[in-house]
Amino acid sequence: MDAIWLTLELALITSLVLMLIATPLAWKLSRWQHKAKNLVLAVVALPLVLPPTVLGFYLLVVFSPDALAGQLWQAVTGQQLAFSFSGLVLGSVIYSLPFAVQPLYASFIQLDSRYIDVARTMGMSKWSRFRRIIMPICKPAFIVALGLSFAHTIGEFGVVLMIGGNIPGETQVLSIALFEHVEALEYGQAHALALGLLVFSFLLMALLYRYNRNGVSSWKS
Amino acid sequence: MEVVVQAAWDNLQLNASIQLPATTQFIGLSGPSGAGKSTLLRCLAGLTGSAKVTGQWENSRIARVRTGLVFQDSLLFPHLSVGQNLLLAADFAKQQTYHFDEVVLGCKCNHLMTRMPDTLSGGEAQRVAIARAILNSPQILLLDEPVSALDDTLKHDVLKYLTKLARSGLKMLMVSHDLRELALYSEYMAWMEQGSIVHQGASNDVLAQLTPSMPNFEQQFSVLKGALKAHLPEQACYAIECEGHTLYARHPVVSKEQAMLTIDARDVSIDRQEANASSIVNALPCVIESVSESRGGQVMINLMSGRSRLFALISQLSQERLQFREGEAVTARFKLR
Repeated sequence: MDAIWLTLELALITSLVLMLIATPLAWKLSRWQHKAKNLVLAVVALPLVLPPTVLGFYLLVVFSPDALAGQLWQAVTGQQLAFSFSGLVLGSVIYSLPFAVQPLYASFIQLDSRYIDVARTMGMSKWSRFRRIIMPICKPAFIVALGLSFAHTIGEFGVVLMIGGNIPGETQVLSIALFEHVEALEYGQAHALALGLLVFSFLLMALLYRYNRNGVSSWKS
Repeated sequence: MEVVVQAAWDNLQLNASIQLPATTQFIGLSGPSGAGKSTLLRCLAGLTGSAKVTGQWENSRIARVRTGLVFQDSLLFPHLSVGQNLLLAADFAKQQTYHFDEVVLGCKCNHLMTRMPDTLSGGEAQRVAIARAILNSPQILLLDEPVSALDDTLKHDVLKYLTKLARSGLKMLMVSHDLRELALYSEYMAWMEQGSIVHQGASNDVLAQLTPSMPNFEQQFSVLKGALKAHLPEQACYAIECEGHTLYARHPVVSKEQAMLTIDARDVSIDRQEANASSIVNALPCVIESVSESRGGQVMINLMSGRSRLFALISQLSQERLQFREGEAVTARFKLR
């Protein structure tokens, strides 16, 4: 049970943090005209193709108490970053970053910038333009970004194993618990977890597709 | 007041200087496609960071003036209904200069309030976009072909409403390809070519300057003015006294009992008969001032009736048959439109 709550907590916190990071990043990238743009896009998309263990390994190195990031974290919080829940959140944010950035980036690119111009001439502040124009018009993309980040975090394994290990109640998420059941030849429990994850992921994807079909994507032309 | 806009892009150099006389409220801007008219409006609205816009407006720099911009594509916010689009604009107005319901009625949007933008026709969306810009209470309203998708009746109704607002103090700069529209509604006019204003002044003067350089005869038209005699609702037209004769028109622009109408040169026929046996209702005795060379099988006849000028575009065949000459007295006839 602990693993279920921990996984949901991790996925929820990760996807919310991701929305805060990915929204300005995707907006900036969609409006940025520079030679280095493709390079930045490639870096953001890297977790899509990189074996999770590679990413996990490098994160583990960076999070270790010997590395600068690990030391800084320990100095500020008094806790170790590797093999902690906070470390998992950080790792998951990096691992799921493209799943949040890409739908938003695609939506922002398609958004007719003259809507923003109209809002500007109407005297709307940057925040008002975002809240009252950009966010509602790009709402389907925000929901897809949130849903994909959440689903992807629920299903992560390699990164968690590398940086979080398998500490029940602290870093043991569902996929790790499933792996442990299989290793211990507890196939009944493994089946229950696997089926639960399968049904949950299917339902989430079906919901997202249904929403997208009903979404008003024609607005973005 | 003079406003200067300077900017440079790969494909366009903008160096436009427009005089905005304090007494002039409705300014027309026209010119060939690609001259930079829409870009000029964007610069004036402060949407082009790289443009240098200088000038004064009622003791403040032009760049600080609150401008409203109606784009050619209406750009209504797609997630909001018509009513919500209008309320949003009113919410962000610095002061409520205009009464909400009056603007909605003036722009003929009253029956559209609950509709979503993607269900509107092009003309309906344009009317809502104009209403939205007005409700935001700008100090200058910039309009880029705002009535291009409207049918004639609605076009005149909306332009008449805009003229009324202009008279009540809202300065407007309207881009239009339709010189007839500008001749009727704008008091002052600027003509733009390749990023610069090449003619500007009172609309009549600018039109007179443009006439010789009109690329083809088809665009030629004249403006007649006269005293409004009567509104004839049953015949759906107005009677206007012009040069001592009564003319009839469906959509004259009426201001202080004076009426104005434009007449396309190709709508005017001329004959030597005085008695009116034709079904064409409007007849005006004229004297031929000049007859142009034939161009594309057509001849332009320049006519004067008292102090009013009229152009008639006739075929070269007619001219060869009837041999109209300078100084000859003829009757010009044109349909009631």
